[in-house]
Amino acid sequence: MEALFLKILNMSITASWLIIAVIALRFIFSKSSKSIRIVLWGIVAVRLLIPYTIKSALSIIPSANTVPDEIIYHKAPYINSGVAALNNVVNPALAQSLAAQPENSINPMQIVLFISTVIWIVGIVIMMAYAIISYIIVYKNTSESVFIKSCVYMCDRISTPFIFGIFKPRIYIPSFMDSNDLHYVLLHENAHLSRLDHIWKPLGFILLTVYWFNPLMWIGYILFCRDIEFACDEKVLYNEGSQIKKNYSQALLNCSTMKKRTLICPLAFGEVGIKRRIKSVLNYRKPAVLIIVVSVIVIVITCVCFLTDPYNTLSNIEDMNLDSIIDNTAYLTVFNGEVYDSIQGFDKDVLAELKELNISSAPVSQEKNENRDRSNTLILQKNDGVSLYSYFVGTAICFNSDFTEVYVNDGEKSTLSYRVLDSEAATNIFASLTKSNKYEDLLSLDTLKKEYPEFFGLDTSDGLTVFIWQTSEKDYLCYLMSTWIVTISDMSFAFEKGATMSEIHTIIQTYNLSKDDINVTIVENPLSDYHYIIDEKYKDKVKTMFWSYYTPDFTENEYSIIIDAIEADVDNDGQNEKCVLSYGHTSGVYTFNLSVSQNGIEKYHNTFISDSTVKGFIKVDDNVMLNCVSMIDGGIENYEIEFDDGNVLLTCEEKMMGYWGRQGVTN
Amino acid sequence: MIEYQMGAIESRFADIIWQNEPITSADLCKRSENEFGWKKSTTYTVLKRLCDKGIFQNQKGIVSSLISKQDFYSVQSEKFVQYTFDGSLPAFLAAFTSRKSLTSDEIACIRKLIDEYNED
Repeated sequence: MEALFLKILNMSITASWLIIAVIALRFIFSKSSKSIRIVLWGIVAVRLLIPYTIKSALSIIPSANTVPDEIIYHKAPYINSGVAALNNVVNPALAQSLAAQPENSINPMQIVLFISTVIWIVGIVIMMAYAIISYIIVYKNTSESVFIKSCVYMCDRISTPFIFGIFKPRIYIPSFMDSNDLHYVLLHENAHLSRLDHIWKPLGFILLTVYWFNPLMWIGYILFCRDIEFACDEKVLYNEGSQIKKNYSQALLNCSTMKKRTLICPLAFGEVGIKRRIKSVLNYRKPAVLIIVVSVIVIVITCVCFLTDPYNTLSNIEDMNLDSIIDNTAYLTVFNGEVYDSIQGFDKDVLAELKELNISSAPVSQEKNENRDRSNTLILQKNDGVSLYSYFVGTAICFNSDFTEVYVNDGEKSTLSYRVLDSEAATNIFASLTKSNKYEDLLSLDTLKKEYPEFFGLDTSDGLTVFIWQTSEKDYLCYLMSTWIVTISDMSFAFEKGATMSEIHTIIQTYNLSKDDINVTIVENPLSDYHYIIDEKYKDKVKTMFWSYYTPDFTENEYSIIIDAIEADVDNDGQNEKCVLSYGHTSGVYTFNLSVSQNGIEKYHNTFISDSTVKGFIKVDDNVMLNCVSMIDGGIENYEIEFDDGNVLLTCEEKMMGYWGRQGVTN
Repeated sequence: MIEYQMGAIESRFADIIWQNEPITSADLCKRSENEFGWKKSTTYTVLKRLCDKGIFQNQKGIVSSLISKQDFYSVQSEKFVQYTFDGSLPAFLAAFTSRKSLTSDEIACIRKLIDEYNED
């Protein structure tokens, strides 16, 4: 029930924006047709009735989900109204007064929500009681009525003409009314009937019953009731022509001296602001075609802008408070398998674009485990949070390899994964921040797939073979094939189409192979006019050129999670180094990376394999060592860190930790 | 104290009673239903109201009047003149004839009334 109340609350806030817009539009269009207003209120009703709608970039609604469903689970409750100014006023107050206290078993927000729901239901009951009682009273009074003609009854006990009844509506006329006015009164009431107002008004009241807590709803309903009367007058004048204006106004005036009617009560003739009504009647003109056209356009625009919901953006993902974290980032680290040091002097504006990144509002799955693909990760820190013996401190925004999914992890908790609706924007942000070619490649992968479909999805059981031939002094073309096919088939068709070296490299990188799996063969192109001599020197030259496009780390597409980091002088050269310990490719065996940087430049990078679990760095007698626990006997092993010939050596007593995979620093 | 006010519908109902009294309440209900389409409860509600006003009475299911139709409207007219013209009949007549002149028949009738009154 509380969930229902929250949904209703959010729908009412969403509708409130629309009501404000409608009130403004009413004012702007007050001189032209009043019937437009009814359509606008109809749009409001639709908004209040439909729980879910399509998302659109054209939506003007600031937020469709102002009060998050999980608000009772927040440590510090917050709302997301879509208006930053509003958020900044409300959220601190909420956090201060309703933050969860760990000692208490119940979150104060739960109590607030419960009480609110109860009050809401009580309100509904009161409204319904009022409606029922009013109905009974009118029913009793009108039972003493006498049939006059079709649907029209005369009654002593009413003071103003009105319509009563939804399914079989009847017009009731007071018995003491002037018979001259009767004709015009009936015109008005019949216009109500033909416009089905006797259905719309109760419907509006039902909506009011549900959304009674929102003051804008009351304003809207009152204005709606007024607008109905105006629209009805217009319909009468439209049907009968301007000549009845004088008599009609007179009838209005005569009936205006009645006592006030109740809200729910039926469409009374003399109820609404008489002066304005008469003015409107006297000034009425049949609407010009231009007005009608403009009105329709306005209505369509209003529907598109207010009946659709806005996209969810990364900045309001769950309750991570990403907005302010992004704004307050002082240090930025990118993990993408290639670079993992702080980005010096990053562009804050580019980073801020992350806030606007559109993501799906529903998560892709309920998985929260640590093994999710985070090939491209940004770590945002307020300050250099690396300290002794502690884990990395910061908020990680984790994208998968092709930027289609994202989740956020701040070290304590992580969010669910959401679909990124604009992967290209995300890729561009990374490309701008890192100025790395890697992202250009990702962006152009789709183009490559279209142009060279035959290079994708090849069988790599025997590895891949690249054929390279030269077409002019500076141009080379390549053709990619499965190695086992090459040995059995004739290659001549390949020369008709080739890719550039950098394109081929991009394509090869989608295969997850190592350098050894790629066979490079230099050939002569029988179709080309350009001739060259193929000797060993030439082959080496071309091969070197080819491998210069090689991005060293493409065997490990995933970035590594950091286990520990330390800043200390490990090689006794008088200056501090930054040592980062991270997980490597597991593949069933235990691996980890150790990277040592000085002054922002990486000096050592080695990947180790071991049957001990690495816990982190530890200082023993002023010496930095690697603290490990053996997986065989659970014993503690501390490895000494030494350097030799560009590599890190890890030794513990007589044992030396073995290497695996990539060694050495990338350029 | 009798209340001398009746709405148009109530008057039509009162007419049924005056024309057919004494009349059983059941019969009255039937006639009301024929004439107005009223349910029994409605008839009884209106009847009770008129009884409370002191115009009719309902004794053991028989409805009869406490004041005749003639007398009722007489008093009502009197009260009307009292209220609007401070009880001045001449003023009332003047107002009445200001918009529409009297026909010769009406003048003769009034003369006769005045003469009869003088003789008493």
